[in-house]
Amino acid sequence: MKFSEEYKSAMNEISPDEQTSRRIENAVMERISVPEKKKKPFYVYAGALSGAAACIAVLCVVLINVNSGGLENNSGGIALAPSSNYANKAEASVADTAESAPTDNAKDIVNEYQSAAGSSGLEAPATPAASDSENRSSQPQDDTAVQEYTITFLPGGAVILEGDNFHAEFRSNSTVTHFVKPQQDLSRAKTVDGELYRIRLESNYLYIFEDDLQTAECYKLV
Amino acid sequence: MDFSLKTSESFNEVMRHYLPMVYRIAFTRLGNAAEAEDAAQDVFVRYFKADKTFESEEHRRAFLIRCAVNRANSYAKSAHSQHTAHTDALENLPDDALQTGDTTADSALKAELHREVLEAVMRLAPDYRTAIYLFYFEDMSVAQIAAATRSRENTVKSRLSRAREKLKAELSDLNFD
Repeated sequence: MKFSEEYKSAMNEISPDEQTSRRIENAVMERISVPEKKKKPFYVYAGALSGAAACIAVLCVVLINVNSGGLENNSGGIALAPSSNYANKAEASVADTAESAPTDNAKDIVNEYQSAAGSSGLEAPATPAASDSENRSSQPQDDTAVQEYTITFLPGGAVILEGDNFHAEFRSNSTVTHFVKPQQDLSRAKTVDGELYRIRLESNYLYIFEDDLQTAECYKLV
Repeated sequence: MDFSLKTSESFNEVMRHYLPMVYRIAFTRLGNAAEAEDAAQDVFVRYFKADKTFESEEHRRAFLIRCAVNRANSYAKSAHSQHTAHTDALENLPDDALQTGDTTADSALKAELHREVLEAVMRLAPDYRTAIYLFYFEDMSVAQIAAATRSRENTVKSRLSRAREKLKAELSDLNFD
């Protein structure tokens, strides 16, 4: 009697029975089929990652805006574009020279606005509060105090905006910005027919708001 | 068998062909039928996912043996398995294991002999059991066992030698050659 033979015979009997074999086979087939169904091509993950990165970048911009200016003057608006006060500061301060600007922040805004205006021959609008830019840049503004413009819609998506000593043409860049809250410190613009629009001028961009004061179509300075 | 294409048919064929071997390797290491089942499942899932092309059937067999040894070792190291008593491993065998269906006296004696042999083997240390199984049942050389268990050849030789000594002592009343 040899150990190897008896051991082989004994081990031969240790095999999964038919039922166990089928159970294992079914479990294996189930396991290998599930991940295949869920498997997504690489570009799906790449797209998701890019999207997440873009969202983070936008969030960072929003947070920076809120921290640096959006909440500074208690406007309460969280804007995807530069904050609402930013534009009004520009409007209010635009008549001042860089030297006479009361704060560094306002100075930067004036410079930025003037460079945009200078590049297209824009003349800075004379605002009622032009001589009081220090107060304007540090306090919330209401509708009555802001500049009023005349707006003309041209065929092909162009818009002409006119004010006192101010004339600029903008063209739609087919983007719509949605603000988290209704914006409160917008300028007024009227058509020749008397139709009222709420607008915001921001650097070389014009935002024309819808009635909800949250959705705005963006136009770029031509 | 032509397993060159990894169609579902060929995969099933491979699984059916090698399942008993993989199961036995896992059972020898783990001494537990339920865990051996789980380990066998894992082995074939890994085989499928590996999507390897084998030069020969011998290579495929070697791959599955190595995979089964590794998987069984991983199960053995898991917390659950460490609480499993391996000494009474044969109680965990499938119901029809060691049952020939023949009720004659010779058959009963044979079944008893097989049980004694298996119990003696299962009382060995896990590494010894695996070495004994691969050497005696799968007819693998020391070098092949060393490759499958990622051990040195001298270690395998030593395990086989010590395992034989222990088995000789355990089964002394059976008068093996």
